[in-house]
Amino acid sequence: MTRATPGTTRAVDPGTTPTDRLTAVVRALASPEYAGRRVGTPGGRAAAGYLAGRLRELGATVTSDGFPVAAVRELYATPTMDWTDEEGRSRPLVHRRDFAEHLVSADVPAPRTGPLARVGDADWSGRWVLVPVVGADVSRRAASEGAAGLLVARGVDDGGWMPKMIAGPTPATVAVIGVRAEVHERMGRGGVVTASVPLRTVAADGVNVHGVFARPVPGGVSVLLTAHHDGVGDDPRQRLPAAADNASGCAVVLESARQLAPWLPDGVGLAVAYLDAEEAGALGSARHAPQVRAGTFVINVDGAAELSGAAAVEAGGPAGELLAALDRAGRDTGVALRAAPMPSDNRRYAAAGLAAVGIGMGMPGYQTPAETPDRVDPATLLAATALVVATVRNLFALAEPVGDFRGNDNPAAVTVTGRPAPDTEDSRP
Amino acid sequence: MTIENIPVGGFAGDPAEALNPPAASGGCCGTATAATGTASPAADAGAPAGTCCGTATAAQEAGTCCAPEAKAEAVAAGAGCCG
Repeated sequence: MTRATPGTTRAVDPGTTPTDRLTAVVRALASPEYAGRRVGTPGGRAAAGYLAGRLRELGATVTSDGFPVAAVRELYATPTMDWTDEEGRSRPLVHRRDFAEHLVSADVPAPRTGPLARVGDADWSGRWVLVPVVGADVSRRAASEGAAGLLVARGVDDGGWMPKMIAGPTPATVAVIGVRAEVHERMGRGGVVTASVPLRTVAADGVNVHGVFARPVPGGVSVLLTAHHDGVGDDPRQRLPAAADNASGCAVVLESARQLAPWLPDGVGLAVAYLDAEEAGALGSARHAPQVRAGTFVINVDGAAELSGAAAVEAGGPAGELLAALDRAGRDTGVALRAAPMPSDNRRYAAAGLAAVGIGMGMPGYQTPAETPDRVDPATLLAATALVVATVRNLFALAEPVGDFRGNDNPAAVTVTGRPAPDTEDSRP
Repeated sequence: MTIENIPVGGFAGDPAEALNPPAASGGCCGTATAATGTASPAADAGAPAGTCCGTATAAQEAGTCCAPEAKAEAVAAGAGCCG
C-alpha cells in the first residue's frame, strides 16, 4: 500500500449547502478532465486523486492501493459501419445508435467489406453473416470459412443508445458487431457491409482510495462506506460522463463522511473506500475485501441519481443488524426500501464474510453519452445521503456507552469525547 | 376521526428479504448469496432470466458478463449492475 499522491485541487467550498457540495462532486467527476474514468487511464487515476484530495480536506488519513487488472476491452478508435442496401443506397450507421462493438469481437482495425449472408447460407466466405446469436459453433464456422464477420441483433435503451461495457469473456477470432434489431432485420434483404472494430484487450493498473476517519477500539463498531469511482471510459470521439454510475455514489459517500466525521462516538471506526475497476468485474472490492477487519459493516452506494419509488437494497453476509439499522433509517428519513439485486462491490465484501449492503437509487443514461450530470437528481443525492448518515448513526448506537456524554445535536451519538488518533500505517477501518 | 400514521420509508416487508432479493443472478460480481470472485456468469445456463444479467446463456451470447437487455432493464428499474 502506498501513500496517495495529492489530487487535483478542485476544492468544494465547505460553506455551501449539501446540495451544492453533492452536485459539485458529480459535475467534477463527470467533467472532460476525467474522460469517463476508465480503470488504468489518466482520467481514472486523476479522478482517484481528486477523491483523495476531498477526503483529506475532511481530515481523513488517506492512502491508495494499486492493483493489476489483467484484461479490459478498449476501443482505440471509433468503429465504423456502412451498409449499401440491396437497392444500392448507402446507409452509414452511427456507432452506439445503430451498432456497437461486441465484446467477443476480434480486433479489426481497418474497414472490411463483404456482402451480407444469412446464417443458413451455404457460403460464408468473405461475407458479413447475420446470425441470431453468437455461439461457439457459429464463431468456429465463421473462422474456418473466412467470414468477414458476424452481425448479431442488439437492443437499445430508452434513449436509443447501446450502453458500453468493458468486461467480458475471452475474445473470439472473428469480428462481431451488435446491430440495432430493426436494422439487423432489414439487412436480411441483402447488400454489402463495410465495417471496422478497433477493439483490443489491454492490461491496466487500478487504484483504490482509502480514507480513515477513526479506528475502532477492539470490539468497537466499525463502518466502511464504499462507492466505485471508475466508469467505462469515454469513447475515442464521444463522451461517456458516468455521472450516475457512479459519480453520484461517490458524492453521497463523501457528503455522508463529511456529516458523520465531526460527531463520531468514542471507540467507533469510520472509513471510506473509493473503489476502482468495478466496471471491469468489481476487482477493486475483490482486492480490498479480504483486508477489512472482521465485523465491519459495509455500506456500498452504486447509483444515486433518480430515485423512483423505493431504493434497491441487497444484503449479504451477517447483515441482520445492518439491515435493521438501514430499515430504521429509511423510516426516519422517509426513504422507501425494497429488496432488489445490487450486483456491485457489496458482493465482494459479503463474500469475504462481512455484513454488507448495496444501495441503488437509479442511473439515468446508464453507460451511454446520455449519462450526464444534469440528469442526476439533487433530491435523490440528498435522500441517499440522509439514508446513509442515519444508518451509520443507528449502527454507532449499537456501541456500549463509554465515558461522558458531552451533548451535541447528533441524536445517535453515544459519547463524544474525541477521536482516536489515526494510525498512518494501517488504512483498515 | 383518527389520523393513521402510515410509514413512508423503510422496507414494506421483512428487511431480511434483502438477503435473498428476487431474481438475483450472477455476473461479474458473483451471485447475491455467494459472490465467487470470478469474472464469469455464475447462473446456470438454463436458469430463469435474472435482474441485471439475464441467463448465463444470454450473457454468453452477448459476449459479456451480463446480457445487455437484462442489464438495461434492471438499471432502468433502479438496480446497480457491475461489470
